[in-house]
Amino acid sequence: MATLKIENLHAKVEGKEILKGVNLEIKGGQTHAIMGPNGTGKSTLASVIMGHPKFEVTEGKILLDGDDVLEMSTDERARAGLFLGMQSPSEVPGVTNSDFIKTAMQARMGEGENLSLFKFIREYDKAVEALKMNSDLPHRYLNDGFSGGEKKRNEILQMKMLKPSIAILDEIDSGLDVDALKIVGDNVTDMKNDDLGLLLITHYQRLLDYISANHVHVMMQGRIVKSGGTDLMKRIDQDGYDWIKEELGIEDERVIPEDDEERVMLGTCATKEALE
Amino acid sequence: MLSAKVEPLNSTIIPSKIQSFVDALDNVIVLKDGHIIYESLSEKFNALKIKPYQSSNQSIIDKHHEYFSSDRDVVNYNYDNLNSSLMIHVPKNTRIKEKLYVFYVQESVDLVHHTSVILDEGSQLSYFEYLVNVNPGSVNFVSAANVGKHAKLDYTTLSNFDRQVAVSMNRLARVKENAHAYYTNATFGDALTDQDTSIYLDERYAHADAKVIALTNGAQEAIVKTLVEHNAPDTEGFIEHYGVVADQSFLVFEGIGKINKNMKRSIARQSNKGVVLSKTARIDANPLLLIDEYDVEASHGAAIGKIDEEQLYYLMSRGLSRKDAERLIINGFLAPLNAVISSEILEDHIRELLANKTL
Repeated sequence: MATLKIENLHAKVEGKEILKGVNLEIKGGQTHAIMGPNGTGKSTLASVIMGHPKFEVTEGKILLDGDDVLEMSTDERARAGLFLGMQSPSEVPGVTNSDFIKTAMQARMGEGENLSLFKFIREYDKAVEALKMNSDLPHRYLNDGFSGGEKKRNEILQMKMLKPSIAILDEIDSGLDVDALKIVGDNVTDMKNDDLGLLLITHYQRLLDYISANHVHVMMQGRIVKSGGTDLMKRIDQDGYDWIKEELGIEDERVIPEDDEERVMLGTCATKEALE
Repeated sequence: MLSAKVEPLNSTIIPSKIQSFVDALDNVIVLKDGHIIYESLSEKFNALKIKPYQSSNQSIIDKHHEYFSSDRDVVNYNYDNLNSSLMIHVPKNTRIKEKLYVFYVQESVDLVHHTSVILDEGSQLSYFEYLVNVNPGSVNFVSAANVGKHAKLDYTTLSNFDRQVAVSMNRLARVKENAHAYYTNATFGDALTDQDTSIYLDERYAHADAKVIALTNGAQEAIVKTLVEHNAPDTEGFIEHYGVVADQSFLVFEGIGKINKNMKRSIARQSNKGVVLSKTARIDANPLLLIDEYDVEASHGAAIGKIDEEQLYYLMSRGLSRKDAERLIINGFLAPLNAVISSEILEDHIRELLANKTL
């Protein structure tokens, strides 16, 4: 049973401190949810745990079963059992989904061990079906031209294949319609077991209707400011976050300024947005 | 009259480098130092004439060479100094779906080789050539394809010379009415390489696709030139260059889409894509459009850069080492080549060459 322990974690990007002392412990069998308004550092925490090169850890520790995660490269973290379902996964033209996952699974095996192609194909097809994706998925290029919902389902598919011990799902609900959310929720719930520690990051409580969480944390100003159980989740659902800010005397909960986060992207919608 | 002065052969042994391909593939010819040392063709190829010049019809050869008379020195040198040759003649309306694999081996001579491909009206050929050397020396390789009316030529090249040779490769094609020429030329070797592909669209509705993939490493230098010239209206030409450069190597892409006067409604497009793997490696891309007519469509572009860091991070976050991730991304970058390679053993070979060259 894996344990991920985060102690007093501080991290900055481009000289600006985003995480200001995060403490969190996730054990196999538990499901944690980090909630909070936009720009409070939730996604940064996920990226820092996975080792995104953009972020620099200035203080604190991340330990996986006592091993120093910060000493590991991103791929070593993955092979040690960490998984991050990303908010906006990259598109990689020319690399097929099945080649990618095959290589990732082979990378987890010892020298001289070989992935059984037959087993792989059977397992992959099963996962594709469970996520109600098109059967041509293995031959399509990785996320290339995928809709937002397809990308998210592809993240869950990868998680199914790679069987991590600690999985972080970063806003896996954004861009999903109700049907897709149910499919994703069912698949994640299906994977739950005593060997899997789950960390869900979301602004919306609705994800937790589909994947139940027993530990809820609220993040503001780059820290976890409040933790609790399902009661806390229900209160947030009813009253939002303002009461927490009031209770803790927080005026501005953000660490990332709004204009940094929401850039107008080029495209038809963006043109409309920019004109407005 | 044109003929090849063929040197006597030292041995008929197939070099070990290509033995496994020869064993695994169907419809193979191995030509070493000007001699066919191995031939295994299915009966489908019976209708074709595939012979060295010395066993071919001389008047057809002379006519063919006249048709491809050139102002280029390397091509004329080739005509004057031939010591190796191959004629592939596909008669009218003969369509061969199976791929013909020809291996060209330089062993004991400075190879000066010419391949003549003649596709008569309505015929079809899928041709793959593999070029390799065993010993030090030089290679001058020219191929000239005459693609007749309504004919279709799929022409794929994999060259894999080591650094002991200097290589000049010229591939020419003349494409007739409603005929299609698809060229995919991959340069994977370590040799100093000068590669030229020139396709002339001589009659209406002629179509050419010229894709060139080049990988360089070490101190290697390579020049890749691709020309599609529109000599008739309503013709289409597409040039795509893909390059990966490592170490201190230097790769030049020169692409020319040339539309002559009155060749209305022609389309000329060109793209250049390059990945630079080290600070000291370099790609120069010169995408040219030479257009002497208003009523045409033309575009050109170039995108050269490092491997995208976000893509690398994404692949690594699933447990792929940096090297594996780079390899996969570069392999994906070469997808146009993989698309025309239909044999598993060659796909594996390309992957291996790629890994050796770039990592």
